[in-house]
Amino acid sequence: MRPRTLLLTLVVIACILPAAYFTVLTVRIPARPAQIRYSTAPETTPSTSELNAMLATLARYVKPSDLAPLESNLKGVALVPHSKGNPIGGYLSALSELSGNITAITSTLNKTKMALATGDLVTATSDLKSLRSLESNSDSLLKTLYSSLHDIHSQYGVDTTQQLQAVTALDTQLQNDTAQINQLSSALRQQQGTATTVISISVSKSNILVGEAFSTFGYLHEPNGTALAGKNVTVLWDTKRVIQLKTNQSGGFTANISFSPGAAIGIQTITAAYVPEGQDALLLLPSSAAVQVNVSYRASSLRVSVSPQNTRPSDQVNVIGILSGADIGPLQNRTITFYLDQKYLGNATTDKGGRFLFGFLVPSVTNGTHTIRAIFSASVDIFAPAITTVPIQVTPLETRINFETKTVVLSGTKLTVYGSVLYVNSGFNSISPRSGNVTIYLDDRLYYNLTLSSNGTFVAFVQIPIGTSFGSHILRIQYVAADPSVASSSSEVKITVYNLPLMLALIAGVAAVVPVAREYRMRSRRKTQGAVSLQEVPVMERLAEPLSWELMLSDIHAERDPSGKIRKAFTVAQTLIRRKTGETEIESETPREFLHRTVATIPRAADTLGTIVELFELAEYSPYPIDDGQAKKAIESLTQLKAEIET
Amino acid sequence: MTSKVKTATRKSIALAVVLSAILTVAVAYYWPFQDAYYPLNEDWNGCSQVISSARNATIIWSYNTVGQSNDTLLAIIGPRTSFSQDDGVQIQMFLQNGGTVMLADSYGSGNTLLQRLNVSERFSMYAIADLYFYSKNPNFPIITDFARSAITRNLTGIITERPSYLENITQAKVLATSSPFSFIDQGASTRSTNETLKPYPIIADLVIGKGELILLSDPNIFTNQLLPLKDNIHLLWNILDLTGGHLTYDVNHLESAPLSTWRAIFTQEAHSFLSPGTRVGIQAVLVVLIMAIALGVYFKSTRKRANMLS
Repeated sequence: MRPRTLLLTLVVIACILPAAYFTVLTVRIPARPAQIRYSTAPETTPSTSELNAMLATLARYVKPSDLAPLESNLKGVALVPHSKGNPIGGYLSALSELSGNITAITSTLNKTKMALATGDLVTATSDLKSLRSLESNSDSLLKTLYSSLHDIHSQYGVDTTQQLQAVTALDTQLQNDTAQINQLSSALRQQQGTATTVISISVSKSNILVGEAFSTFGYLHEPNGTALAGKNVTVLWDTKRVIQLKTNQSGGFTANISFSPGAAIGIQTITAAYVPEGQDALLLLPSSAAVQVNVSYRASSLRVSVSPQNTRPSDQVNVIGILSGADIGPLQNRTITFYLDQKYLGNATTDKGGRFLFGFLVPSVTNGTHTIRAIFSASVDIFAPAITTVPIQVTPLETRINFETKTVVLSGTKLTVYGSVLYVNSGFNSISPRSGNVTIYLDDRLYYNLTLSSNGTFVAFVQIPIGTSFGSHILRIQYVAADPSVASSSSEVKITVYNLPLMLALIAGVAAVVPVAREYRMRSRRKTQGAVSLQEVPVMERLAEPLSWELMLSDIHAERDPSGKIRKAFTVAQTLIRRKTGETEIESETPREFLHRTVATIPRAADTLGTIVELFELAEYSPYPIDDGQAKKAIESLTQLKAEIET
Repeated sequence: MTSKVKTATRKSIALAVVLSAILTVAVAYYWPFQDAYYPLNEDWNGCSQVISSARNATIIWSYNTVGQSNDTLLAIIGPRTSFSQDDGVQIQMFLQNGGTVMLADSYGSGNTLLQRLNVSERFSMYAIADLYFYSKNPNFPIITDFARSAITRNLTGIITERPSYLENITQAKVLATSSPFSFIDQGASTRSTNETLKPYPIIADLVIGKGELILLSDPNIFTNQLLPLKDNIHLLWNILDLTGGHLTYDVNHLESAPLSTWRAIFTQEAHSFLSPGTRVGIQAVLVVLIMAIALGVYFKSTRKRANMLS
């Protein structure tokens, strides 16, 4: 390795070193107890010895007197992935649930005892119901425990003796609890000493119209038929309506009721309930009965007509109609609401004859068919709602844009656009709209915005950005009407944009490329003609033996092309001068500069060399053809030059 | 040495310095943090999701500013260095003023803080495993036994990784306990005959002054690999809810690579001062600069070779 390269390498290494050291300090993590990667951790299942240890441990936690911790400890077993479909998981889950049940039974038993002691028979009844449910659930859990232990033993071959003992202890505990529950049930029955009651309810008709009164009646008695007189019976209907009735001597009760406007239609339930009060609560049990009726509204009819049906925005439209009810005739003082499509228009009230009239101005809407809806909502009425729709045709005034502009434009210049907006239908009073905005877009990009003149014409001067790309673009003119009754319109034209910077660059490029191409063409031509270039000669001479005069002369004569002969003559002249004076050609100098420089050294050769140079320039640069006479003259001048140089 | 060599040397030094600076900054910014429990570490053993779970999070390198506000959760997760007397005083003040501190540790470094706070509870420093309540293998015990509290609200199970357990519990309320089948793992996560199966306290909290100190005997609950599993993230959310989602994350007591702290400061500052767009712009400029240097060197060497041949 060279010393300089070695030095540079050392410098680079010395400077990169801090970064490298920094990197090392960045990534050097201190040693620590290895954390375990969860995603790659192996999956294992408990071995037989581990299951034995588990079950042995578990037996210690099964304490029938205090099972709450066990329930808490094991309740999350369902979250353990390997518990699914595993008898151990089922066993632990059932054990947890049973522990919870037994704990709940113990506390509920105490609560029930307290309720019975204080005569709170309602609470005691409710508690005993819960106890029965817990007891029933616990029975099935016990069965699960036994079967799970059997499965564990047969599947894993582990010893389940201790667990069986623990489960048996739980079984015993549950049997004790069941005995207590039975005792408490007996005690409750003794304390209750109550009689059941029977209530019935009927209605005068099963199909009810809203607002129509109908009668409901029923009886309250004991199962043996003994009438219960003077008792309060509650009748519930229409969701929230309630009436309190007192039974007569025969236990009967009756009331005229009705469903209010707003009631839901369809099957409704009327309920009669008896809840013993005061001393009766200790002697009688509650009872209830229900009957179903079909609720409906009276039909209503809404007839509507619109005038005119073909209209334009801002036109006045009148809606007239009549509202009538089934079997009644015209409905007066009812509110009819009107909508145009989804848009609220207003209200009208029916007169004595059920008639209504509603007028409105057509708002700005799209061209086409629209719907007027007349709605009788009947939210608080005994009649059913009614809706009638009527179509209207809205026709805005169509417009079109006439405009003129140049279709070829240079980027960076202004484009004048002038034109007018006209109604398509000339049957109207005016031929053009008198207001609105005209917006000009070039390729969907907003470029100009102006207000339409009062005679409907517009003139815009759109500055085409200098950077607009070369080629075809869309010039779009959009008219946005100010009057909602007039439709907007747009028109577009394709224009060709010549990008100014690109044009200039192209011109500059062409200007630069032409001389280069010409030079290249010249050189190619010279090569194909076998001429030796000015630059190649010295190299040839360095590489080859010096050519003799005769050889060089014969080489010139061997050339067929007259201009080639002249070029070779000039090259040989340069060679002769270089051999004689040591003056070498300079790459950048022109033949004429070469002449001036050389003549200073050999003044006697000035004319002859001048002739050769002149002929060379003609052969090299002139577009005119070179003839044999000129070639001959060049060879003669070369011979004379050799003589002049050597004298 | 000729003047040509001197110039070339100067150019080489300048180029090397620029490359070195770019390399250093790029490493500082782009090299991922790999330190365990580090809040900027997005790998499996980092705690970047803890930071992103908070409504607003602050990373602190010292406790100088902790005592100034008490409406934040001071999270100390996986400490590996001891707590100084000054640290103890600052945290004591923070707690007295009503602050909430979460200390999650299994290696025992947190015990120095508990000692400074003058509480009896300690991390046992022994890992526990479980024979049945685990996910994948006994190294990942599942905790399902929770006491009622705001911290354990709606939790059904959390996954831990070789947790230790809490001992000497006198004042603290135990909030979570391992299953009855857990045991002190004296090696290779297999149980020897003298290892007793029993539940161990895993999470507890105690009131100090107006504040609350939450002790968790496993920092791995909050690593990126375990946080999304089971109810681990709900546990974090419950704890964050105590302070309205405000979090202050202590990295001062983490064991980290020598330059992690400076890189973290640099990264944090870069994120706070530069918008995402500006950062992308700077990266683009750096790429263009490096490409320009590389192309310059290439063309120069090509030209030299051509000159030498001619």
